[in-house]
Amino acid sequence: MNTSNESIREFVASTCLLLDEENFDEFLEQCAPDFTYQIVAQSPELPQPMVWLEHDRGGMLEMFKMIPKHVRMKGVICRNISVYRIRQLDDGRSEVLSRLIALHTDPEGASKVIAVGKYLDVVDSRSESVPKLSARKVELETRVWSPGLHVPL
Amino acid sequence: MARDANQWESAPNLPEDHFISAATYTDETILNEERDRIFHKCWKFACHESELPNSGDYRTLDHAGVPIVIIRGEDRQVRAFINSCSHRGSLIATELRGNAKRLTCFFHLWSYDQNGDCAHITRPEGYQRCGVTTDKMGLRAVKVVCRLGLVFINLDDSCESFDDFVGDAMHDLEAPMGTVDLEVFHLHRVTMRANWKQWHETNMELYHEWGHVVNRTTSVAVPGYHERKWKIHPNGHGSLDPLRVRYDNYRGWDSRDSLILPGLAPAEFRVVDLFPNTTVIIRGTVIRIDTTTPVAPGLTILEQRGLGVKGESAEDRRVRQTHHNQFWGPFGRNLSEDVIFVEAVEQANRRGGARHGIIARHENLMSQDDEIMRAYYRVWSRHMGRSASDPYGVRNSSRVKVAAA
Repeated sequence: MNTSNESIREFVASTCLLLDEENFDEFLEQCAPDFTYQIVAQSPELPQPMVWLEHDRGGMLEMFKMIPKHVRMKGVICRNISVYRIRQLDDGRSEVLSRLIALHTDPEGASKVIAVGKYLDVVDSRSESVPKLSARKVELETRVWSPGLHVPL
Repeated sequence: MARDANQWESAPNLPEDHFISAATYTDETILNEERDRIFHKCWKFACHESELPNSGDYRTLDHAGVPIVIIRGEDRQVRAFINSCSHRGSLIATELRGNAKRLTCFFHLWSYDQNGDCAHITRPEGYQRCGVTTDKMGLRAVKVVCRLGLVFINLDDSCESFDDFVGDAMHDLEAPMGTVDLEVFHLHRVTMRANWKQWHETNMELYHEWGHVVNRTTSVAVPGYHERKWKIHPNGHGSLDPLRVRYDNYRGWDSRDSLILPGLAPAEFRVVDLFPNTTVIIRGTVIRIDTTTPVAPGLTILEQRGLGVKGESAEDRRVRQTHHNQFWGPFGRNLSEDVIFVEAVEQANRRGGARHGIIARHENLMSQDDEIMRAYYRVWSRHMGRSASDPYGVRNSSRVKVAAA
């Protein structure tokens, strides 16, 4: 077993857990200073993909701070991932491709799938300290949407 | 003080057009009649011309339960047809988008040209006895009009002209949408557990802007917000005086002082509501077009488009997308909250928990006046032959209960 790959898998999974728990401060601690985040989706009516959300680290911070003030879909979200591939980039960082299935469970305990897609992450584990998430691109196959999410996938 | 059952269920002591019966939103018979009397008779937004950029490009949609195909011909004209083969009725175009010189039915391979003429019948000799020939088997044409890039259709061959229907309701869109070529860069759908009219109401009654933190901070708090006037157009349409929104009042957002669409002041907000269920909203740099498809009384598909300038640079498009997504995107701060609002109303309406919605605000036609809604429902009532406040016509019967003053 490739220990390095194992730690990267665990790291990516931990970022999902932090988002599930809405521990946004600690999630941002896992992000590099130049972190970028993007959600893209495809509309069957349009020839080009859509960008649904795009932020740098500072933008993510501002978004997180405003979440409590908004009208939100109640319940919890579970970001279930399967890491499909880890490959090393030329600069020594790792590109991680994961399948994402996001599930929502409402306050009465009814669960459903709300989104299917992929994470394309860039993880920087070159230094001796803990890994950092340099970038996350969420590529959604879902484009019929649920209301009031306000949180990133 | 809290009310008893009789008081709760009784019609409010208000003029007839100042409240809406919950049955207007929940009754299946009313929805079926709306399909026949409104959706099959009125001009309805179908798509944007940029979705059909090339000859042979087509789009398909469901219009009040009727499958439609819209196609751009080699003569650049946009035409619309019922998407049903003249042979056995099958859908012909089965994709949401495509390109075809001819539309060929996959069932028996009959085909049609871009004018809707039947171009080919498989083994035509089999029809010689009965005289079924291509010249008699064209598609059912649907009236279509393009205005400011918006494509409208009407299933009623004897309908009034589009210009008579819309009047000058689209006047505020002429400069921003008629000066430069625009294109749709965003299209998503939301399946709402709510009635289609409830969604259109969120684009008319601005009183609910108090519920959105983003609207409170960027609009309601801005000087001039309450002093804008609604213009009530004939046929159920409405438009509102513009407002310069303070986007930078919302944490983390910048003002919208550049990339302004033609004819607008920086950060200018405009809204045009078109009967029965289309709204165009402009926020300085970017345009949103809402329309809905009713599925059931309490189930509606919302289709939401974002438009920018065709051919602009990638950097400009990125800015416009950001502006679009901040308010209207699936992870945006405004539109998704509206879905939660209307679903909450539907939950109470569904089994008779709620009985009436009050639309009784009077503010001299200023922005949070409900007259825009009252005018809309007067037109609705004209089409339906029913009162929105008393859809079953029982108020004058012995069963009427009227709340005490």
